[in-house]
Amino acid sequence: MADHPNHEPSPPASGIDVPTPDPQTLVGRIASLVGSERVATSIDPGVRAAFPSIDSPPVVRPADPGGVGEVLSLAERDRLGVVVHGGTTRLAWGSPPDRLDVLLDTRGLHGFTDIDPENLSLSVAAGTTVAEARRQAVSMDRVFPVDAPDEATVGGVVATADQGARGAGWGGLRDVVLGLRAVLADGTQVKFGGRTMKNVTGYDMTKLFVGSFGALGVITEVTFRLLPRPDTQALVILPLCSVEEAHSVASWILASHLQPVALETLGPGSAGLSPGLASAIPTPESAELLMLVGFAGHRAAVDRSVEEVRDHAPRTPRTVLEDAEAEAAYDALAEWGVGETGRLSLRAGAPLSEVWELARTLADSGHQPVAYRVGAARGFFQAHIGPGASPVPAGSGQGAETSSEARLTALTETLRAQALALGGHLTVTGGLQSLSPGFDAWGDIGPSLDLMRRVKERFDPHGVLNPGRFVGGI
Amino acid sequence: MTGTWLKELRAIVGHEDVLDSPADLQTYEYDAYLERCLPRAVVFVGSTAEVSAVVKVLARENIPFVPRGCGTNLSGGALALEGSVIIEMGRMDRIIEIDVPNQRMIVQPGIFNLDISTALSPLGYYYAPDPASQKACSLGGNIAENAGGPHCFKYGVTTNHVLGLELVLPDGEVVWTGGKDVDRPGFDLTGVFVGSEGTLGIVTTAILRILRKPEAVKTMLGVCDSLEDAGGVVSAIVAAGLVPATLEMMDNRTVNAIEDSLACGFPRDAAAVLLIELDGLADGMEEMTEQIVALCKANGVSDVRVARDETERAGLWKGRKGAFGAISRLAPNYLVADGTVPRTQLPEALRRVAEIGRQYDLEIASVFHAGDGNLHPLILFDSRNPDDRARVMAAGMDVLQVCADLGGTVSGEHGIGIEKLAAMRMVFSEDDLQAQGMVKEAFDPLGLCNPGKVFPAPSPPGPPQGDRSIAAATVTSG
Amino acid sequence: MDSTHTVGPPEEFAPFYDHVVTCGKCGFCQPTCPIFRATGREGHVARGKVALYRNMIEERTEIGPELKDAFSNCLLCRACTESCFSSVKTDQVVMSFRHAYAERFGRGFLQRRVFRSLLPRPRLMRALVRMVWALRKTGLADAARRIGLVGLLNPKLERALELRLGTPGALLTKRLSRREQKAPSDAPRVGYWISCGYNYVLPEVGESTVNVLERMGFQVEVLKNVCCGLAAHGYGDKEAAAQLARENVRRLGDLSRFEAIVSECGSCSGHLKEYPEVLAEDPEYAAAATRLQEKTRSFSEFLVERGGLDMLRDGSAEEGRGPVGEDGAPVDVTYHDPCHLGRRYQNVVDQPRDILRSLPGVRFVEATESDSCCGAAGTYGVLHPETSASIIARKMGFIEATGASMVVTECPSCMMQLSYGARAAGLDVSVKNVSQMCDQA
Repeated sequence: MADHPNHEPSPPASGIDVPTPDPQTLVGRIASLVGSERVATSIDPGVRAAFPSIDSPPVVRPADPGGVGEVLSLAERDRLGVVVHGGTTRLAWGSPPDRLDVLLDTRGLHGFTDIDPENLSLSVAAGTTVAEARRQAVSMDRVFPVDAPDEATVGGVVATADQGARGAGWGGLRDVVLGLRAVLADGTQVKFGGRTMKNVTGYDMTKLFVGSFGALGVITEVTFRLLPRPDTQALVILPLCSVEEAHSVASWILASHLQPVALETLGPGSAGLSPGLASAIPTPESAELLMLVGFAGHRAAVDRSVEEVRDHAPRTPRTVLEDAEAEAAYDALAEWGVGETGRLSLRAGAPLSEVWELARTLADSGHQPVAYRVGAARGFFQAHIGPGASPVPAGSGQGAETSSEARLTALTETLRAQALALGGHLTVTGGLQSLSPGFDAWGDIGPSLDLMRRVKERFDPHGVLNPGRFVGGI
Repeated sequence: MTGTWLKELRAIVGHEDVLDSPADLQTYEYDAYLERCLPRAVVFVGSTAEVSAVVKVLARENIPFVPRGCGTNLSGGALALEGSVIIEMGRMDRIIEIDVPNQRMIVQPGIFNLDISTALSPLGYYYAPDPASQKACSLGGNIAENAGGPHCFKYGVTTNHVLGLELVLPDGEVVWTGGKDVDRPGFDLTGVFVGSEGTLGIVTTAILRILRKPEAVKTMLGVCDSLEDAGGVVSAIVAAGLVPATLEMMDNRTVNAIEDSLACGFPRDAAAVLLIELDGLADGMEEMTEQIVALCKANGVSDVRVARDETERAGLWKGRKGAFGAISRLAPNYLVADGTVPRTQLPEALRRVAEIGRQYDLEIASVFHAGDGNLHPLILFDSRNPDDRARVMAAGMDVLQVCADLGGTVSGEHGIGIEKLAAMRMVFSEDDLQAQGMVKEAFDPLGLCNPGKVFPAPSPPGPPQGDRSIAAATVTSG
Repeated sequence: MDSTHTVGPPEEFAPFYDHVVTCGKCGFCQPTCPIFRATGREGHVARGKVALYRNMIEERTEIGPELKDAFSNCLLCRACTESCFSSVKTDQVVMSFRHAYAERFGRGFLQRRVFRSLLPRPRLMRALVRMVWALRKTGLADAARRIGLVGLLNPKLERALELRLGTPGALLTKRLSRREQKAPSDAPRVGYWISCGYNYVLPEVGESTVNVLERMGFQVEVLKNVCCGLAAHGYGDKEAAAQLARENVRRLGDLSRFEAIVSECGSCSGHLKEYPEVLAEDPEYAAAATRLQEKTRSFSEFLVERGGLDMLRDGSAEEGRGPVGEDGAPVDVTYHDPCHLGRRYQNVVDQPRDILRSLPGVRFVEATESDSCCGAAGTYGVLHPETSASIIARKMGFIEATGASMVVTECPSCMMQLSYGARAAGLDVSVKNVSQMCDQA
């Protein structure tokens, strides 16, 4: 018998009283639809790490969109809750599911369906890993414009809009996805967008699906825009002593003619948050913070950019990594925080010059251990916060007895309130269980939530797809 | 229907700002497309509150409406079908905020696109999406059509530069989507709204991304003996890792029209003229230019001109900017077709377009955005001649079919409007269309916002439209 | 619909049909049209007027009072034509409508009495104008305006009175008649054209112009012309315009005695150059009209043509002359192109700017949209005061942005409108004619 996840479920989206499905029969029925070799009962450790309290729903790994369709049709008919995952690298993002009757693993959807280096487009099955897509692009002398963990699937990356450091130059996922195919909640297969950048044929459904966390459909294929391989790339590494200093340098860069492809700042101790980072990036002992400024393009332009940044840097050393070394650093940076699923992790966005306030608040809070990172060119702030010691919250009236849960919740609430006040957002991307029960992973979305609910209702009236995982319990 | 709704509208916006006399309505029955349809009334709004109040009245009366900017749409998107009331946004043209440190700007939708960059220029910034019509089109219209322009290849289109919207939904509710920050949690409603051709609601405020003006610009022009050569050059440029800001191309017919009226010094037997522009840091610009000149020569483009200063740059652009004007002298009217193909298919696309011209006995001159495969065959005709019109429409459809067949799409930047309703099925299945319809239903359950656009009638025909047909004027050609 | 009422479109529209169908409705006329910028009404911009005109020809609509608003809202500045891919001549379309409308529905007071009866009679004009100024002097007119009586009678008249503060004193013709001829009698002769605007409202400008012409070494003959007729022409009253043109040709007589006919009013000089077109139906006047066209020069045009720039540059070396401006401090000056002088009509664009750059003590700065219509456009500013005020307000914004303390132009109508605009915006910017600047230097 499958149990529901061990926490307070919100009502299913459809409001219907749903019977508990029987897994033996369920497994059998799914197997008969997609083949028994596609169904398993053992769950990926990444899923367990993201949802510690789930039981053992059947896991299906369809080999093609048709198989996905079969599973979803069945789920809709029987009012099941399907949770979709790929490489599980970001599965902890968002709320745990309300119902989890079937796990759908997309990694059976694998390969390249259209390869067009001349026209700068690449169509990839959703379950293909980022590493494979990158390798394919490199083999064609092109750039796959997504910085994400190696083991993440392209479908997952698109569903979470998980763009990394070089989004400063490449744009976000919404800017590099040209089209996609998906399967809707009732099993219908659809395609959106195309292979060209100039496309205003019907609604831009691609944008709707990017960052939709699987709430509207299961992405089965993504067409990405590729970039030409740049002449050269370089990564400047600057030690800085304070958030203020970093803010000042970043502001100067953003106001200049320089066009960095990456502009990341790692807070104290955060280099250790990625296994490869310490070896990829030489970190001076004295440095409190590390700023990484990346450039790519024609050699002369990159050289001049590097020189200007070094000249402007307030302190030494000013290391420069080039080409393969720079690439290794980006790879390591993309793995930042992967595997930290148990810890509280936050991801916030704010206007470019305001985002530093969040870093300041966290640094000033004195909470330990923390690791944070600021992506100054796109306005991102990410933090991993351990349960350890922190000063007693003011006015709490309690001594050192204040639980770590209370402290972490207070800290998260402070940061979220600040992010919202700055015109941004803050979501909990891991370790939700270390906060007070019922803490909203997503935060206040504002009045447009209503419209989002209406969209969800049309696409998934019975709440089959990742129920309860997204904003507002969608 | 109470019949007092016109009075209510007048009470909201002022007596003079509601037009319903026949003469006035005749000036709002067209946009830049070939069809006409009389609106029921035209309302000039001046604020978000007025838009909301007006929409509430119309929604209550079950009267459809169309938001309109400058009416420069080329596919009929601004036509008021089914007795719609036009909500004219032109008065809402203010700049609300320029926020340089955050690289953002907040504007009202009625502002001319060019006026945005003109206001930013003294600060050293600009707004990247710059359609060729930028001095005459409104930002709201750009948002509706996800407008492009010659700089798309490097900088993207409107949707890549719009981060937040204040919307009046078709029931009059006012909501904000997006903001100054990126990748906000929730569905990207801003993203699905851009390019929705005014069918999901009305933009009343927009948050834009603004960019630092590039330090340097380098312009060059190549005269090509064949379309393959031109295509080869572009492919070679991409293969060399270069990302030009602009790649514009004009075909032989266009070149000859330009030489007739502008005398730019293009050889009349040139198969195509390719205009290339690089922008960015000054460092390396000279080398990249030389590299491109070498690539041109290696691909059979021997006549390459490089601008050495602003005057020469203007000279190289003169032909491209005057192209439409030059072509307009060849016949009373032209239809601007708009389709996209993967870039390498451009020569084949143009060959098939030429064949279509021969088949329908129509002259066609083409201008295209070579970097992204977006082509604009201009089909010449006399709009007074019904036979001409019929052939032009049919030829236009055939051009779109060619684009679809070659792996592209049927609208690059002008939208579906009413012009391309039939073409939607060239690229979408019924399931695809139905999925898009679900978004429409979520935003506009009553179906009042810009009816008759984007989506062809369901096949087989759906249920009747109800009593909205009472005041509907039929679409007339002209 | 009662078919006996339809008489069909005016026949005079037919020749324009092939031309107006070339309008592709692209809408590029919109941003360049000062009226559209102010009102946002499609009917006020070229595309809308052309659409209505075409509709009349195709009998989808009828010529009638409903269309008056669209066709009276036109400055005839040709900005639309300039940005039009098909170069549709909307100004001609508008004048065609105005003429046809008057033919079919009768002429208004302005046309019957002013254009046809008053303007051709300079003595009557002068008497009437003197009376108006006399009333002004007594304060009666101002009082009437202040208590709203004038506004009640006619808001347009109120606007006309606003445009010139104070009274001009003696008319220009009177002042010039009292002058002594300075040049030797064998000096080359120019005919100085009397513009209504300077004669009745800004006579000091005319005096400056004559001063400069004499300083250039010419004998100045003050012409006994009547109104050039542009106002009637723009109004579509082709007959009145032709009547005035014929009268002027007669009065000027044999032009061979003149080096040139000079006017510092861009409208007058521009319209004189169009006399062959105005008198196209009068073959016996054709030759004379052509000669007049060939002889006519606008002031800046003439000065630069005849080497006047050197005279100006060396000006401060002469006795009694100094740089423009007080205390020798340089004056920041910007320029406004009158429509009829500018690129879209006479194309006298560089000369006034060259003049300003040649004047010692003057720093010239170009204003944005310096070539866009000020919104006066003859009778337009009086007939559509609010829109006209919006138009000039926009222009004043650009002038303010230059930091200039002076705006120079070459048309009395523009001068009055700019003065009004500066006052309305609370700007401390004085308005001068090019000839006044030359006279001061």
